[in-house]
Amino acid sequence: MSNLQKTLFVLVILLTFTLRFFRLSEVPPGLSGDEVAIGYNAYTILKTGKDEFGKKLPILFESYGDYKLPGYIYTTSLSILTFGKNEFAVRFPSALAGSLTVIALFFLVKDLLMMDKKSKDKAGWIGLTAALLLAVSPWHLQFSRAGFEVNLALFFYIFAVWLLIRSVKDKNHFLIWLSLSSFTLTFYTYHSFRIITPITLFGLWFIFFRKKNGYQKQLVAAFILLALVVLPLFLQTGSMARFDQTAAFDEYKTPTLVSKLYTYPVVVLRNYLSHFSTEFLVIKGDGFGRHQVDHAGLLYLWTLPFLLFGGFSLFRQKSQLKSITLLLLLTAPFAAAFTRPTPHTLRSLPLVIPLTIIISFGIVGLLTLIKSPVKKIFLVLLTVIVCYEFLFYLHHFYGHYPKVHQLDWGGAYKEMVLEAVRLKSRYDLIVVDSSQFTFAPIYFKFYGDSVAPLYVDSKWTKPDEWESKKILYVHPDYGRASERNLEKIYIPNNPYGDIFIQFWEI
Amino acid sequence: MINILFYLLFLTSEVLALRTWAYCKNLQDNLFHFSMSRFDLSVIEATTGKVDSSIFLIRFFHNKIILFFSQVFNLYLNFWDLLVMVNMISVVGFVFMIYGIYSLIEKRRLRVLSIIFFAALFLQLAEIFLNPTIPFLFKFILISLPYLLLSFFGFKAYTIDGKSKGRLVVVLIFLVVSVLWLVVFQPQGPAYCVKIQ
Repeated sequence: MSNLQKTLFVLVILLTFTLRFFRLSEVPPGLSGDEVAIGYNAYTILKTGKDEFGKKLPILFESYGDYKLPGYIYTTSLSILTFGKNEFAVRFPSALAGSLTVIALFFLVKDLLMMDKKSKDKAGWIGLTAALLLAVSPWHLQFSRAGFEVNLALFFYIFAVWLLIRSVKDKNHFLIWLSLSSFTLTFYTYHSFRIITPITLFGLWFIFFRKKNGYQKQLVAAFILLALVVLPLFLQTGSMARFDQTAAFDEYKTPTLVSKLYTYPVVVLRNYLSHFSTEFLVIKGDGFGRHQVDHAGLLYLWTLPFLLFGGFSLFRQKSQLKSITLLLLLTAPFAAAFTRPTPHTLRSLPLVIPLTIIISFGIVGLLTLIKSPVKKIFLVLLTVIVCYEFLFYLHHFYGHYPKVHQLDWGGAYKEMVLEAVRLKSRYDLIVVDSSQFTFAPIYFKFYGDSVAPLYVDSKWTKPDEWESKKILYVHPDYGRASERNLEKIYIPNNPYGDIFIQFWEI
Repeated sequence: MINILFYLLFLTSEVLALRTWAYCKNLQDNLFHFSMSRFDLSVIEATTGKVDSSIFLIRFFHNKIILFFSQVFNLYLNFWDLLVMVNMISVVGFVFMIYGIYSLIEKRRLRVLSIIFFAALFLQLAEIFLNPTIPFLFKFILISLPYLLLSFFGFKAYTIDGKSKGRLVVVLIFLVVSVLWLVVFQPQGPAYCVKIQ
């Protein structure tokens, strides 16, 4: 690497960390239901060694019945130990993992290109471009700035692939063991990788080790060990719960085995292909408020020509970069194809890596092709477009998104709990209607563990024997106020002026 | 003889896929059409509301030029959406369309490719801006023509010019997948066309 490349690499790292840690607690606005559950379970593990239901050091966390994997929760315990029980601590592991993924991608691309004699001289530049693109990627940023397990798993995955490539490059057997350890962690961190990782491992074996070499015994031993370490995960109660909840086939009537045999593969094919549609990648993502910013797709518009050019020129080559990129590209949407809804930005997050590699290959390739006088004009124009679209994204992410999508990120649950805590001394009992907001109990546990409300359904009325008691009735509601003895209506600062919560004195 | 049979099967599969779009015939709007009223609404949405912002930021990020180009570009991208193309010319048609593009570039017949792409560009831009009262069949032929041409070119390049021994088996597999696709999924017209109330 030249000195210029080293300087640029440091600048890219600085940009990566800034974009992932700047106002991390505030944007996205508030912890989502899943983040609070992760945070609270991490907190109880830290304090008692048990999850929220009292199960000691579990491998699967029951949570809302979705049986969360332990990787992110145990990591968050360390983060809470360091930063305390707050939003920053819950998001820190993901932001750090996102930043490290950028660094891992740089080394992955560089080392892959260094293995190819023809591309050696371009290795540093393509690696740098890939790192820069991932650093500013709306798709990767979105998941790096919130407590998403998939982001931590993606880091383990890319790190594992890089370690394996290093082991081949340096003929270092020890790195294979490290690589497989990192692959094992993906199994324990996010559900999708239970499908993605085995396929990737098979692909990597096919690319690097199918011909006999000195690795055979090491590999067999390593794979047996990996299978043994991963096995307990599959034997746990609820290990398939998440798949049962999200399986793609429920909406199709398949009464017979024959109908299943021809329907399921076509459904999987359609779901798989949907992850490569322009509507998903460029126009609007998957439509979930928590998964992307409005008016900005998962990829920048300006990257499209480079994606096409990069794809065509990369796949015509015979290189390790091509094989690995193709493997990552084809593997990434595999798990998401078996689930619904589809396409799904979160479950297909690994797709961001091969797409970034292809685009960076396209950018460097095209710039190499263009001759000098046109090159300067092209570079100036490109820089203007790139900067404008990046600023447009930042404007939406920091300006509009926190206000428009407040309700996607827990609305004012936190404020609700803090207000109830403030008022508690004036009341004998706090009663919370949790029928509409199933997340209320976990928010109370995370933000207001000094309060132990009574959770009731919407039909609840004050019992006669409690006539003398002064009760604070917390009633979640959208858009309408009640005339009943109103204590307070909380209106969060969002453009729609939704009424989120009502406090009734009864 | 067998090649003719495969051509007929290929054509049938594309026609069957195209036929599902007949749903759009009696409707007045579709996903691909640029509407000035929709544009005006998005300008109002982008420049008003309760989001506090400086006038400079509003002018810089939410101006009519950017909104116009982003809307037209998004509409144009819809034509190259993988699922739209699969639903328009069937799975087998899409596969050979990609192969057609690949072989045109590979054989450096870039002039032919450019002509087809420019035709697509203008035909589809015309669809984006044209009044929806233009006869549906005429409009639909114009939209689907570039895809059909490319897919037929790809099909010819693979089956007749190709050297692979098992190529007809590959074609057969894609034909079967295309038929199953049409059987399993409801006609996709309703996903792309809407009725103006």
